[in-house]
Amino acid sequence: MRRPDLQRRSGHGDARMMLRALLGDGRTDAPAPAVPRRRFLQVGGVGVLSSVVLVACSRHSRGAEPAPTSTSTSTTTTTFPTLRDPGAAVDVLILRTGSSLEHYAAGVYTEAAGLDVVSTRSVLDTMKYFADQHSEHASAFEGATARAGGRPYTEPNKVLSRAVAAQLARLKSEREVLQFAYGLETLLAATHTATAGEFADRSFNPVVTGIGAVEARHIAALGLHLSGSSPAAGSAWPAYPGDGLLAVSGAIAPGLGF
Amino acid sequence: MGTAAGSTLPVGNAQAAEALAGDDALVAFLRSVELAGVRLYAAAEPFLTTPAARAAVTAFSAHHAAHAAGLAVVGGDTAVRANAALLANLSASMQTVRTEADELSLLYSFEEQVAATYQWVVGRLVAPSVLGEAATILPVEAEHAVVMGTLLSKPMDGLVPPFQTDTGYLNPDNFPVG
Repeated sequence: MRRPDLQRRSGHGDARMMLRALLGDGRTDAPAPAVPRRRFLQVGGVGVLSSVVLVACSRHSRGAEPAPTSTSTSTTTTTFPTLRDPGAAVDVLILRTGSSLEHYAAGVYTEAAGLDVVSTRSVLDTMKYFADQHSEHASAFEGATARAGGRPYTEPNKVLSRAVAAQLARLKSEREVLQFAYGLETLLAATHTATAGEFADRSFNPVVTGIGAVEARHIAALGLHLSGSSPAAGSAWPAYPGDGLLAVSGAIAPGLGF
Repeated sequence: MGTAAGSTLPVGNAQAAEALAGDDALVAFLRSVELAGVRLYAAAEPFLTTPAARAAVTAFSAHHAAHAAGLAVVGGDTAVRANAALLANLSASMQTVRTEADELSLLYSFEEQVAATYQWVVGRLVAPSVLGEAATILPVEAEHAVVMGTLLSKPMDGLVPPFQTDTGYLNPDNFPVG
């Protein structure tokens, strides 16, 4: 079988831009641009995130037991569970990253719904509905983490959370709130989708796709509100990608933000 | 590592080969479903009256063709045609279509079934490259369903369930690749 070029995906837009937006504009201390783990492991990495993942992999490749390991910067600490199976350790890393993103998303929706600029009843209902679903997704990731032998991660993603208060404060209209939510959902859908096929335990593949597809449904619902059912070419918030393929080029690599 | 009886392949390789053959069969099935989708969408044209429906149908038909082509890249070059059994199954419903709403309802149901089918298949695929391809298509089928459902004014809780499941998936045993 031939291997597809994952980087060719264009989809809804560049999730890397979404990540930059979520991290805050113009940040110089932001992690390296996120890349799918598959490519990331091939090319090696730069920056904090890369060192975290590569530390884990190098330990595994030597066959040593991956003892609890922390790699810290001034604001980020990543702890790996003690697992004898290197594959399970990577599975846990992916699943814990998923948990952190879902907790972050649930919190963003909850906080955004409390902004003065959000007043339309249907929009508020939708935001609460999506927040509840992200909480359910977080629980699903936590359960999967436990099944993989890891310790479930129960907090919002720390890297993304750093900038969220300031970003929400900058949103001046209901439409801007929905645009922010669209970017958030794009990042989550890309990240979950990119991890399909990366698990040592293949039973986790449907877990991430089953959640990633719902994030895509969120994108569609938000995109319909922002751009209508027949978005113009080049629309920043389309309900579906013009080329019919979900972009994964800006997915967050496992290990970011916890 | 032992060898499989009657084979010079090591057992592990034989199992891997069997798994990849399973992938090829599933990909061929998905391609046949996508091509059936192209046919289904082509038949929708006469019943469309609103610009929004026309735009969605045009876009999604192209998507299904692109999905079939993308799957062919990762899943082998064997010729695959539109799934005849699926089209035969759909034909009864297609003949009852009288209005745009009827047509959109049919397409909505199809998209939900296709999304469920991808979710089912993802649980069975082995090769990461094939999984990656299926995983990037599945969310878009789900988005199709949301757009179609919204055009039909379906409520949000029906269009956006908590999790994508495989409920209602198209079983290859019932719709074999012809």
